[in-house]
Amino acid sequence: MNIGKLELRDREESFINLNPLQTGGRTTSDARKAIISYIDGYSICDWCKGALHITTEPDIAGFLGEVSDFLGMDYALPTNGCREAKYGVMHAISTGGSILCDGNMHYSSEVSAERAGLKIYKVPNKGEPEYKINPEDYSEGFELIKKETGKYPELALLTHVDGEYGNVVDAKEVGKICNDYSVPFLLNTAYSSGRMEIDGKKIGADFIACSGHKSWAAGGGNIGILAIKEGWQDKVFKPGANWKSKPLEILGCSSRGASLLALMASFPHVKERVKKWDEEVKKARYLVNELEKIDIKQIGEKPKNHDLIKLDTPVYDNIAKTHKKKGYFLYYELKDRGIIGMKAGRTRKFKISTYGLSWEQVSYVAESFLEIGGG
Amino acid sequence: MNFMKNVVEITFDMAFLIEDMREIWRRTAPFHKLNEEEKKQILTIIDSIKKNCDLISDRVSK
Repeated sequence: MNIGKLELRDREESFINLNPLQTGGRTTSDARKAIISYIDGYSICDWCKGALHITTEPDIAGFLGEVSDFLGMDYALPTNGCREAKYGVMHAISTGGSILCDGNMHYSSEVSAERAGLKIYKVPNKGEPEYKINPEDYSEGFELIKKETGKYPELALLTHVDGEYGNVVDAKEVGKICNDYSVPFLLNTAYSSGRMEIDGKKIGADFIACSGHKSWAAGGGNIGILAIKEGWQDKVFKPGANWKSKPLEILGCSSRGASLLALMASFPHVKERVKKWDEEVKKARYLVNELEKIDIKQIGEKPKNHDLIKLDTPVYDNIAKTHKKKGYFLYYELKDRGIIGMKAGRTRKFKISTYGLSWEQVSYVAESFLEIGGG
Repeated sequence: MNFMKNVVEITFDMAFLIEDMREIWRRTAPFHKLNEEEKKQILTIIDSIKKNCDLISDRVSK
């Protein structure tokens, strides 16, 4: 079935989708209903009060207040994505100094810092096999920067859960170190908030960047959240000189359509689903446990504390060597079984996610991988 | 005006019912083996859509 020249996308309805980029952004039916209703351009502006974040019909202002509370922060603004939230903070803070980031950060953190004119320093991960970030290394990083530049960095960034290994870093520990050094702390929660409970105050975060389309069951475009702690609003949410209601860092109004409504519609479900995070972790651990019965090794912290799973899979790589479909065999074997989300052609190392799957689906995924691997 | 509002609301209601049905397909992918509760939900959705179709047919036929 086609929509004009576009192919119908039925990946969520017809398959089990394991793509880690997509599982946490799988929409709720309420989000899709909101999207259907608010799909037209500038649909959010029917009752504009001069700026997106003060709009009360629909109640964006009220929603942002609830989101701040949900994240344990004081103020929030919608952004066009997590990267825009990170960039907004970096741009507001930067005077051309430096930033200390974790070595597992997403590329968008790095290009945001570069665009904001910050010199980037990294806390390296500990290498094979777990690639962990050690929170205590932030102290070392701060001292190194001070030695090299004469000043501590203007900002520290931690990727709470990285997109490569799905490692969960002790953000509270990093927050404590940042607070001890009086370095503002930006927590990237693209893979955590919306999936698990986050309390910015307990963590000691000054800023939290969130991805609606990655972890808050939102769709209909890109959507993010920037939440900040009391005391930063004059700097980070500063309005334009001639446009007193328009925050500079979101260029006045960020997401002006269906994606923000999708985020709002999914929010009640998100508030409930974060309470079931332990069950999501159990599913990930179960799958890893099953897959490691054959020549497969999970890479990253063990046991898993997140649904994003990176695997080293010699078993499939060996089959690919003699298979007529070569490296593509795994993709097609899985697709034949109704499972997608893997990059076609990958057999040695790949990432999957169990987020939001039922136990029945997770068991079926495990059985399928084992069957293909000859286990 | 009332005529238009009613048929429009009914149309949206059907679109939303379809989303509820879509949710069941998502939850049960890839084989869509439905349990008794899910079967009941699907049949209720279909029944509601049928009633909405009849309502619109009546309105536009008058």
